[in-house]
Amino acid sequence: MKHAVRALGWATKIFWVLIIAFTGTAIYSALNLRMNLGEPQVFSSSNGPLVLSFPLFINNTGYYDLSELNATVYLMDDNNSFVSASATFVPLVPRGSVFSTATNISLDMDDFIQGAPGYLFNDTVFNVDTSLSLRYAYAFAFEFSQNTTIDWGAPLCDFSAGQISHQPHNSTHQKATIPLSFENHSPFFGVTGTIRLEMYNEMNDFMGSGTLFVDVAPHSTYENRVEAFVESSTLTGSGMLHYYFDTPMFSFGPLVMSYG
Amino acid sequence: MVEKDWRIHLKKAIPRILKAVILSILFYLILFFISSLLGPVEDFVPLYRPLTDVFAAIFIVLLFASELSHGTVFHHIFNFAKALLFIIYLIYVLDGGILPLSIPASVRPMNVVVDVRVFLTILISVLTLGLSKNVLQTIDFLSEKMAEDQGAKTLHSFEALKD
Repeated sequence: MKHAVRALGWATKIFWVLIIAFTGTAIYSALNLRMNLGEPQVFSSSNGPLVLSFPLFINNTGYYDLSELNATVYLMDDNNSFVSASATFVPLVPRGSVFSTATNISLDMDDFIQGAPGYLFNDTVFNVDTSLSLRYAYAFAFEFSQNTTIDWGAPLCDFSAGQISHQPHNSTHQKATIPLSFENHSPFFGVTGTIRLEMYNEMNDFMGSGTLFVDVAPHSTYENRVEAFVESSTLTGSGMLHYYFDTPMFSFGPLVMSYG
Repeated sequence: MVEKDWRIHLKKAIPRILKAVILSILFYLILFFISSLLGPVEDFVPLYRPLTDVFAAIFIVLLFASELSHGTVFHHIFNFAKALLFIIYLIYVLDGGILPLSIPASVRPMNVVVDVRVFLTILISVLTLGLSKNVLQTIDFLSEKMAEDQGAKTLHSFEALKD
């Protein structure tokens, strides 16, 4: 019995020494660990998707490895409805190594706009839930989570059409002129492409169409007139205007507005 | 005669009491030092402060009683209670191994969940090892005591037989 007690006593002492040494070095290492969840960045190309990038930088100068690192980003609209998500998994960041990565959310503007056309015309705020989970020294698991917001500037904000004016063009046709204006509030991309107008009278008969080329830089206002040639016989005092937007970033239409 | 016995008992008890007092003060100082080290973390572990005060008070009482009852079975019982108390304290203060913390940041607050279940399991395993050592010590002490009593009885009956 005495030997068993003595053996247990020694085992307990040895384990305590190991635990204290492990805890001390783990705390010291954790204090030397440098981790930075950077500010979200937005990238856009002329015809590619919009990419939201969330950079992560780790300088593991401690004594222990970081493992099972999982960075997840959820993008939600102002009503907290799911928009998109992305995750990055890194199995191991060995001790003494520097590591950087980014979690990217790729937004295909066409799909994005089809789902919610309001994003084209109304500014909003996106909620971004970022979470980072990792295991440190194979013994401690951490999960960091943070909420941030990204301002969404509508590329066709305050899109409006003015009063239609028409002048006789020839004996059968008239030239209709419609003033258009909008503000490109998007800080990420310009609106470069065409706006096509189709005019329908009050009987819903097609009257004519016109196209306008636009090139609007981010954070700028656009004002112009679109001209359409319509048959004089079909022209009525009221009707519908169908606008079609076609740019390398997105295509949308029709936006239906009434006139008269 | 009674006064002499009382003096002998007191002479024997004084070093034990002194040892118990010194150990209690030493334990209190160690706990105070650890608490001051953990000061910045205290805000994130809400159960830490009230539980540690209660734990420290009970642990010091048990430590004092354990040292005072040295050489008796109560010494082992108090040691067992100490180890058990430490296990319960660790489980409570570490909230079962999952600590949800909220770090107020100047720009954006950050929520952190620390999962120390693996570490807690290791700690409890080692403490359980200590507990089992205490149980064995108690059994050893009792069996020795029984053997001593048995020996004394045999000697007494042998002497009675001799007379």
